[in-house]
Amino acid sequence: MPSSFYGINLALRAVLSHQQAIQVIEHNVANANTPGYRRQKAALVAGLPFAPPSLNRNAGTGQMGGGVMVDRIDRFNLEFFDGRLRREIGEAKRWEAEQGALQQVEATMAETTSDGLLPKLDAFWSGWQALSADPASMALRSDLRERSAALAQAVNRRANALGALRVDQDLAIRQRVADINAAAAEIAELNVEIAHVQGVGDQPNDLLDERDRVLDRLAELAGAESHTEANGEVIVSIGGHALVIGRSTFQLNVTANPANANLAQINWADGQALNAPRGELVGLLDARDRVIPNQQAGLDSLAATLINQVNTLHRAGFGLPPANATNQDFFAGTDATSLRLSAAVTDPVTGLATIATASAANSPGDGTVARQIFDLQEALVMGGGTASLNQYYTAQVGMLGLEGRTAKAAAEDRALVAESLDRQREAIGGVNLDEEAANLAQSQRAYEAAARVLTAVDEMIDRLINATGRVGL
Amino acid sequence: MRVTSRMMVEDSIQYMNDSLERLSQLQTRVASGKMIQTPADDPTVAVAGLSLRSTLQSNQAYIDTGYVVRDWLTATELALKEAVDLGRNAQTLASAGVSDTFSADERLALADDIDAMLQHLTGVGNSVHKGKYLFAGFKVTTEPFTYTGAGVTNNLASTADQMQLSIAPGQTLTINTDGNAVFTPLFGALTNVRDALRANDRTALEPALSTLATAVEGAIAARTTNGARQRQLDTEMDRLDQLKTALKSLLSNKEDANLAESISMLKQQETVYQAVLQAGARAVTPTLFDFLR
Repeated sequence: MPSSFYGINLALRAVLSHQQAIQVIEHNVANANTPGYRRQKAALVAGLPFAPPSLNRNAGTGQMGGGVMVDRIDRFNLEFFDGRLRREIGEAKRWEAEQGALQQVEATMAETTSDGLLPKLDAFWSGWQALSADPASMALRSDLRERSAALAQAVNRRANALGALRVDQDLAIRQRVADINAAAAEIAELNVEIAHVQGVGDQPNDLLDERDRVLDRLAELAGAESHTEANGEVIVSIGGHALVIGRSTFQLNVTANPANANLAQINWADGQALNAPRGELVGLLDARDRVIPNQQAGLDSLAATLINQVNTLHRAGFGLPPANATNQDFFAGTDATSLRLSAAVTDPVTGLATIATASAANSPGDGTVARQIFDLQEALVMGGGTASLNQYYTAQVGMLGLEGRTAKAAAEDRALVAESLDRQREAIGGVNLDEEAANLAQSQRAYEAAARVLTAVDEMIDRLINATGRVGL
Repeated sequence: MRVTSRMMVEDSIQYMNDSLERLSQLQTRVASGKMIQTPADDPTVAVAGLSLRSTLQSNQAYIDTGYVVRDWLTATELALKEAVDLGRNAQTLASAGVSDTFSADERLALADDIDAMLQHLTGVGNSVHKGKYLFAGFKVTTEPFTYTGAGVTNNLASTADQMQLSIAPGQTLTINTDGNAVFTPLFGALTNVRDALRANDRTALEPALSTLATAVEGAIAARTTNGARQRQLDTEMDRLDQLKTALKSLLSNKEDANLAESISMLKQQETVYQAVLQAGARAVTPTLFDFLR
């Protein structure tokens, strides 16, 4: 026979269990808006059955139920979604970072506005054309010199801005590497705590949420992948190289690479180069090491060809008499950064007369050389004789535009996929307040009922102790 | 699918952002009047726009040069017309001197007239356009002819330089006339006529008159050539003007936003945005908590 107080114990366990269930619901409601929070639920199970001894059987008449107890606190999550989602957000972030850089490059080039380089190049050609019709005119010579200086400055400004943009990307890359190292350290700490909590048989739900958030961030940064061990620890790797194993981390080091303009080179602590498959880092590296250098090289090639071609014609020509300056350069410099007008042409006294327009000395009316330089506009001098300077630069702008468009489309597409996966994850693990309200009501009623049972048992025992054996009193 | 409270709110924020972004794009389109803002918006249109704009500008450069050339050719035409007229007048005047009825004094008077014409013609040969001698070849700052009394000397050994200008892509036009070729025979013939009249030498006068006739023919030929150049330039400039209009409308077609369409799209998007806002206001729904007690 069970003890008379067995009922009190049973009711108490029910009261305590439902109280705990309500606390879990409170936790859910409190975190309804916490990013990365996965809803939890107290798993109620029937308590262990109790078999009271009896006269004819060792184990009494059947088994008495052991009431209710909270076995564990479940966490709603779909682990296999996480891997796919992280791959997609890695891709989305890669293109997003690249698109950001491309937008800046486009803004620097400003080709669709009136401040573009092409209008300046066209103005330069027009200047020579006008001068060829009236080569002795000082006003036209001065106008041409201004146009040429404006062209040189426009090229310089773009070259400098591209250089600065490249350094900006480099700073962003260093920042990301620091973020990755910090995240790795955080995961290692969480690994220790999670393994400890799981070791004693509990569920470290909120620690798991926290670790998932950091893993999401690592996937955004560098496309990190993770694998959960039986003891609850995760192994994190980037591009096949371990970042975190258990409680130990493998740090990334940044060194200045002299072969790449002293920009950051990212290596693992063991010397291997980082080879990230996805993530912001990949987009930034691509912008820094491919997109921007391509534009720089295009600009340099344009400037070098312009300098060479114009100078070759200009040196063969003659300035105005009596000086009849000849064998003079029009442009100085070798690339986009150093392009400027030559000292002979910028000379405040003799500069204008030095501009060579004539094919022979003492021929102030001869605009042959000016016309030849103007004809360069249509000459196929770029890309191995396949494009004029204008066409080459137009193609360059077109390519940049195409890259920007591709990056934008890819970023949007991947973000949509990631978003839909995130919705599915949210559908499983997110908090729905209606649901919590219903569960709360349910648990509350169960709690009230358990309390009521406690009162009933109490009254029963009261009767037994205070009212039994008092017949006739 | 299970829908959570956060999903509702985040979705409605996402919808608001998307809608607002479209609204902002349309607003920029209406404000700037351009279909695209950066090459990435539409690389094909951007590249087409760039090369159209470039062509337009070089087209304009040709037109500007055309005006300069036209002025030069007009000045040349005026000078040559004057030279031809002078030559013809001299022919008429001097052929009177061939007549038997003319006395030596009358011939002397005629010779003075011819001399005045010779001086005038020297001035024509030294015509200046915008500070440059028209008939001096490339040496536009050197006076090509000097009247010395005995005759007219050439200051330049050759004025045969050709000023070639690009008047259209791939088309060059020689704009100047060889001064020595046109004027030297005129000067020579006129000097001979004048000297024959002065010397009262009828036998020398007749061949001198026939060389004058040849020299005038030469000037007329030069004038015809110049006229042909003017016509060629006019045709070319008409074509450039037409091309300019065509290029402008093409560029506008490619790049400019259709204002009526853009504004109605903007209006429509505004309505959509308001609808999204209203829907968003309802995303934060009352929960069961509001009804349980």
